Amino acid sequence: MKIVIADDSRVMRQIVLRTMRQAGYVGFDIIEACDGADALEKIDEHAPGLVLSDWNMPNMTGIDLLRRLRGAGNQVPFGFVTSEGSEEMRNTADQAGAQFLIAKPFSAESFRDVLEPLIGSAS
Amino acid sequence: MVAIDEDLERASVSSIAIRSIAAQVWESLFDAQAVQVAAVADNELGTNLLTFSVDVYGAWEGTVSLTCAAGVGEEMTRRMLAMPESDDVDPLDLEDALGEVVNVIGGNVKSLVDGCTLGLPRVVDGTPRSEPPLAVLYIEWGSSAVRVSVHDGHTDQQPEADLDENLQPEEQS
Repeated sequence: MKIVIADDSRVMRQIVLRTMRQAGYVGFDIIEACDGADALEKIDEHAPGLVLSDWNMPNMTGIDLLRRLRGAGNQVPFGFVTSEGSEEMRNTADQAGAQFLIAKPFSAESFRDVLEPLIGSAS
Repeated sequence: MVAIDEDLERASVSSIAIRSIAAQVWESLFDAQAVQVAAVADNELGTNLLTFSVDVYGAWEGTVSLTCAAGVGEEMTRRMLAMPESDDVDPLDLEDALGEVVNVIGGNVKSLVDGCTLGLPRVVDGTPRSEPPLAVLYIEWGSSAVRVSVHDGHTDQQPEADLDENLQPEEQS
């Protein structure tokens, strides 16, 4: 399965990837995107089975990316990984069609908790 | 100011809150415990100090900062990227890595007060705020320390640090 990780921080993309591995999720085809617009192109091109996205990004924010996808009828499982996990943001994410929001700093367990219902147990 | 002070009191933007946030950040990003140490004078934090800051806007306005020596910043970046100690650190990676650390701390401080937004991380040379912080803690890093501080209100921005210059070996600077 392909997974798109969208974050304007290369370091954070690496940490998200490492945390997924620590949670036992290995062997996926990972596609990195540096902002929402880049992610939108790569989602169209690769048809991933999951999108993990930061919220605040240049060019196109994570919430705008999600709204564009859902507006176009794309129901790819979508989760936010963001440093701002307020209740207001969780509600906004939920209303836009996100499956989950993981607030930074995160743990391998927090990834396992949200990914298992979507892509199954870790290997 | 009264309303802001009341917001802060409710939100407990205190050393205790910052310590809790830093502990989570250290565990998540560095796979390490945040060991708090006694206050360290600027000149004992090391040479070529860098301060990464992010501003909070809205019901409470303030700044969250992380200050460390450039060499410590390189070590933190290596740890975040799981790089060998022998590898050189690209200044862009250092800016990205420590900007993300202060962004995550700032995001969590912001969430203590309803109705706030977060600015973008920036880096300046030295220690830009001389006034006493609302909250401060020093976290051990090898034989040195990293300072995490929260200030009330914003200040005029200093010119951004030239990381290429700061990361030069000392004998060349």
